Amino acid sequence: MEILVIGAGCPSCDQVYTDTLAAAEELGLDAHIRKVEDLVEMVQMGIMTVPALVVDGRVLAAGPGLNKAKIKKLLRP
Amino acid sequence: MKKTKLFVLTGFLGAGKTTFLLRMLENYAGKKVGVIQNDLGKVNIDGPRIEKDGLELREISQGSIYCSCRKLDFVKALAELAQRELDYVLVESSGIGDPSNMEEILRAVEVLQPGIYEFAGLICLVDGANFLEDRDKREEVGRQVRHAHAVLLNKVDLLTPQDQAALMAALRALNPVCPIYPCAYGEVDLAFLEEDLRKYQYVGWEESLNSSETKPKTLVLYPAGTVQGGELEAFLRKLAPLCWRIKGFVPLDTGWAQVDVVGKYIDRKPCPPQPQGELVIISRTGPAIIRPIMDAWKECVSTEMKLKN
Repeated sequence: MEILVIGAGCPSCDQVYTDTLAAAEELGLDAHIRKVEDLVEMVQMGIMTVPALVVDGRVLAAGPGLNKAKIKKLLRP
Repeated sequence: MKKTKLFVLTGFLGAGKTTFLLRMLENYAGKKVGVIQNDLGKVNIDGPRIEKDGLELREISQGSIYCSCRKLDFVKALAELAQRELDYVLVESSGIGDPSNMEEILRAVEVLQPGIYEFAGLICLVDGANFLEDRDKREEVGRQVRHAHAVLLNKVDLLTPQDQAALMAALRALNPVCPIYPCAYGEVDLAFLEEDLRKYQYVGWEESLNSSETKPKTLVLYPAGTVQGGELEAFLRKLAPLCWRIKGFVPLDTGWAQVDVVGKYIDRKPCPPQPQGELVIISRTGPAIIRPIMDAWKECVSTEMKLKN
């Protein structure tokens, strides 16, 4: 499983990355988690709102309001 | 296909960016023009000043367009305007805007809308009366000059020849390459806009200093009714040293006034009636300014007011 946390480097995006790491660990997921902060890479992926959560190429969420509980729900197998 | 020429204006709070933008718009009358205006606060005071029929205006508020929190909105606005077959797009950055990462933004726009824009350069407005002090207090001010392709040294009417020479030396120390045009009220021969300004690029691109941590505190004051001119003046005098900038519109006993405060300069001029009175206050002291605003208003002004974030 590849999880991408897309954010431009602001504190709220950083928080989503931290929450995603915690959520994956609590769920016991075997996942490779990467933070994407590069603007060009973001738009190449079609992301126009951050923070966004992308799992195996699928955008699961984009925009404010993501927290650990919501991320866990989205990542639960 | 004819490309859209993209100019980006930078310059610290109160340097005269909007005035120069209005001059550029006058110069491009009859052309198809898009404008992106960026403001730090929730309220964009300058939007209505430039709005007119046929102008494509996009406003990005509550943060710098170069900051991680807003740069994607900037890319989106540029990509959107790229579809309008415009002759020119003019961007007015916010006063603390550090455009060091402009290239990253242009590369992202190029992914979405390839081949539309011809980036014509960063034009930096410098407030001749306050530059040296601003430069020492906010690092963004130096960055704006270093990254500029042309500098307009504005407000020279307020300077002695010695002051102007000292300023030229300070600007040259920051950017020895780009042309510097001394002027007042942004009145400069606009022929330079036709030049290839990109050849004056002095430094390479870098991370912008703009972030949510470095953003100055912005508040909006709404007077509950008509204010006496003298009372407003007294309030502004008290508050000015604590602010980078105060701007907006106030209903006075003598009619509506447009208010502009930059450093110790307080400017008040009549203006058409506005939907509501509002003053945007950009603090030098962070949220600590709230108490002094409340106290100064209570002391100087007999009308009630509301202060909002």
